[in-house]
Amino acid sequence: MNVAILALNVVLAIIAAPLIDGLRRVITARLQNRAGPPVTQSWHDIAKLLRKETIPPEGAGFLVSVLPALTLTLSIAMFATISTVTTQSPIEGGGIVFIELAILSAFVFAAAGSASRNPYGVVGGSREVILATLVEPSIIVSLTTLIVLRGSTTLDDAPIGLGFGVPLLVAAVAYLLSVLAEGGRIPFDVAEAESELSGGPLMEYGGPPLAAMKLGLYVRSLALFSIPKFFLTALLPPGSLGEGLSVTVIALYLASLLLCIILVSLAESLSARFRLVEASRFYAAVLALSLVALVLVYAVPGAR
Amino acid sequence: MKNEIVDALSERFPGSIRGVTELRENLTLLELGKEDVPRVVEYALGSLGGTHMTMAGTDYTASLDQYVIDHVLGWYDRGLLLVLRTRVQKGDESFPSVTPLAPCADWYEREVKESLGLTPVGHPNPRKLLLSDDWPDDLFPMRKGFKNEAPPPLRRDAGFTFNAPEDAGMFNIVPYGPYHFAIHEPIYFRFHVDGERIASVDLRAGFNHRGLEKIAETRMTYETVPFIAERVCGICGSVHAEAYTQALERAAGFEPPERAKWIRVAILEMERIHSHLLWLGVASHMVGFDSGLMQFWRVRDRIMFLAELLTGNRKQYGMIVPGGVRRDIREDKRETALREVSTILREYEELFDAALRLGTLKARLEGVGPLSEADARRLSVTGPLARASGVSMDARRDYPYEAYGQLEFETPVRGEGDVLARTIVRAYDTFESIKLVKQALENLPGGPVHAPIEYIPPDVTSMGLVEGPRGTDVHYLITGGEDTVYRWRVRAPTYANLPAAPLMLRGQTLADASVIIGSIDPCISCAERVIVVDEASGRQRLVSGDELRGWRA
Repeated sequence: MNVAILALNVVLAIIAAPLIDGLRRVITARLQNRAGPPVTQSWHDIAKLLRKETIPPEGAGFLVSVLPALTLTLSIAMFATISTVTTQSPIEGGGIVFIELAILSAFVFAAAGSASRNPYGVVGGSREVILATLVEPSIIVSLTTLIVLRGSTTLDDAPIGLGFGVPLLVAAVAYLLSVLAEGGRIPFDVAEAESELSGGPLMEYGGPPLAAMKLGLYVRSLALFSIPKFFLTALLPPGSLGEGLSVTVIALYLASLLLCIILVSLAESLSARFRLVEASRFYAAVLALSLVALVLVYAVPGAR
Repeated sequence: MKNEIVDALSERFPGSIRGVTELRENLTLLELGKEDVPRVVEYALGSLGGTHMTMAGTDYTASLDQYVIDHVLGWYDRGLLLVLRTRVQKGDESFPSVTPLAPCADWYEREVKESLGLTPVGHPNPRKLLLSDDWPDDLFPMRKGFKNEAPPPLRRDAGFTFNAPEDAGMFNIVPYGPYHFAIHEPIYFRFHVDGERIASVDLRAGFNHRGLEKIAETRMTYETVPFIAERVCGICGSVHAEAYTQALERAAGFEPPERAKWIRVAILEMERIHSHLLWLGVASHMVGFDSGLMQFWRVRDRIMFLAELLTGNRKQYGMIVPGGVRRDIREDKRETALREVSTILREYEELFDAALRLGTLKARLEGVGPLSEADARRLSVTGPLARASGVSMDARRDYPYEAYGQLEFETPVRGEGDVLARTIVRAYDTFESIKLVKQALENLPGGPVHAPIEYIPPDVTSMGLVEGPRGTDVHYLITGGEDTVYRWRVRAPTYANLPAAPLMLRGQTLADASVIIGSIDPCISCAERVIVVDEASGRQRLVSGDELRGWRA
C-alpha cells in the first residue's frame, strides 16, 4: 500500500470532484443556451451548506446522522483505490475493492433516503436500489473485462501494450453507458427526479449532511469517470510512462474526464427523464453489451 | 335554434319551468323550483349534450328575502347559453344538491355553502373548499351583510379531514403539496400509493383564496374592476379583464369601436402564445427535459418583448377596459410587431419540429393521465383538456366575441385524451394564435379605440365568455346601481378542470403525477379567489394563524 498516493487521492477527491460537477453544469448550460454558473459553483454550494445548521427530520432514527457521512467516506475510499495522476495504484488488487465500494456506496445512498422516513425519500431510495441493481452489474462486467484484458486486478496505469480490439472497444462503450446513470443526472435521475420526487433521497437533508451527500455523489461520479483512462493507457507500449507523476497520464486523464462530462451533459440536454421501466430496459441492453464484451475476450483469438 | 333546448326541457319537465325570459340573443333564463333543478341539470347535461359553465349564488335578502342560485349551461355547438334560476327563501337556507346526479357541480355547491350559507342537501362531499379551516362556521363572506374589514375571530379547534379509501392501511400516504413543487403553486393532492402506483387521490384546494369578488362588489366601480380582474391570474390576466368587460358591455348593450375589437384580439392571442410557450417549457421540465424548458422560454421571451412594445408591459397589460382599449397601436410599432411575429413563427416552427420528434419526450407523455371523452363531458372540463379528449369546444368559434367572427383560425382537437394529446393540442393552438395575431395586426381597422359607455342598467344578468389559454373563462355578472357590480362570479377554466385531476391520476404512477397535474395547465390562483386568512396545514398538524403570526414576529 502506498500511503502517499492514497493521501493524494483523498485530497484530490475533495478538491476536484466539485469542480468536475461545476464543469458539467457549465457545459450543460451552454448546450441549453444559458450562461450557466461559474465552474466553481458546486464548490460554493458545498461551502454554503457547511455553514448551515443541521435539522434532523422528525421521527427518523440515528441513521440519518450517520449515513450521509458514510456515503461520503465510501465514495472517497472508492476513489482512493485507483491510480489517478500517477502510474501506480495505491493498493494491490484495487479493482475488486473499487467494485465493492461502488456497489456499497450506491446502496448506502439509497438507505440514507429511506432512513429519513419521508415518503419521497423512501420512494427515491427504492428507485435508487432498483436502478443500482440494474446498473452495477454492467459496471462490474465491463470492469471485469478490463481486468481480464489487463491480466491484473489492480487498477493502475501500467502500460501493457494491449492491442486495440473489439472486446476492449465494446467493454469501453458498455462502461461509458453505465456511467451515465451514476451521476444521478437526467435522463437517469429517476431517484432524485426534481419535478417528481423533489430530490428523493436528498429531500430531508440540509446543511452539512446534505453537503456530505452531495460531495459523496460528486466524488462517486469522479471515481467512475476515472476508469475510462485505464482503457486508454492499456494500449500504450510497456514502460512508456515511467514511474510517479506522469504528464501523459494526466493528459489522458483530463481527456477521458472531459469525454465523460460531455457525454453526461449531452444526455442531459437531449433527453427527457426516463421512467424506471425505460431506464431498466436501457440498462438491460447495456448489461447484454457488457456481457458480449466479456464473452468476446474469450471467443476472439489473441484478445488477451 | 335556441328554442330546441328550451322546448325539449319544457316537454320533458312540464310544469317545472315556471318562466322563460330571453335576456339577450342566445341567452335564455328559465325559472325553476329548487327541487326540480337536479333532474333538469342532469337531463340537460346528460341527454341534451350541454356543458356546465358556472353556477353562482347571489344574496337578495335585503330586497327580496331570498337567495338566487343560477346554473349556467352552454351548448357550444349551437352557440347557446341557458341560465337555470332557482330561489332559496331566507329562513330555509338549503337546496337539493345537484352533485349526486351531475358531479361537475361539486365545487360550485361547496362554494355556495361556505360563502352564502346555503346547504346543498345530499352533497356527497360537503367539506370546505375555499375558506380556511379556522374560518367561523356561521360567517358567510358573500352575504351582503358581511363587511370585509377586520379579520373575524377564528376557530381554534378546526381541522381538515382527508378522504381515505376503505383499505387505506394497505397503502403509503404521499403528500403532493400543500406547496406543489412542480407547478410551484399551493395545492394539495394526497395520494395513497401502492409501490409507485397511485391507488386513490384526495384533493384539497383553497390556499390561495383572495376574496376578489367581494372586493369588487364592495370597494370598486365598473371602471376599476377590469384591473383587479386582470390580477385574478398572473398568466392569463387579459382573459379575465376581457370576460368581465364583455359581460358589462353586453349588459349595457354597448358595442366597442371596431379598432378596439381588433386590438383586443391581438392582445388576447399574444397572451395565449405566451401562456402556451410557458406551459410547453414547464411540461418539458416536469418530465426532465430541461433543454425544452430553456428553448421554449427563449422563444417566449420574444412575446414578452412584443407585449412590452404594444402595451408598455411585459405582463399584466392593463389594456382591456370597458368601452375599448387603453392604448392605441402606433403605425411604426405595428410594423415592428409584425416583423417580430414572423420571427416568432419561424423560431417556434423549428423548436416544435425538434421537440415533438424527441422520442424520450414522447415516451413520457404518451398514454399518460388518460381522460375519456365521456368523463370529459360528464365533468364539463374545458379548453385543451377537453379538446384533447375529443370534445370540440372553443368559445372563440362557438360564442364569437370581438373580431373573432371575421378572422380565420382552426381549433385543434385530438381524440387520445392523454398528456401527449394535450401537448399537441396546445402546440398547434400556438400556431393558430400566431396566425391570429398576424391577421389582427395586418387588418387593423382605423378609428377610435375607446368610446364611453353611456348607461349601464341595474339588475341585468349578463355573461362574458372568453376562450383563455386554459379553457373557457366564464364571468357571470349582475349589474347593480351606483356604479358597482351587484354580483360578479369568476369561473376560471382551472376551476372546471381541477376536479378531473383525481380521475386522471388514479392508477397512474408517482413518476407521472407532476406532468398529469401539469397537463391541465392549472392556475391555482385563478381557481380560487375570495378571502385572505393566514393558514397553513402541515402533514397532520394544523398550525394556527396566531402561531404563524408569532413566528413572524
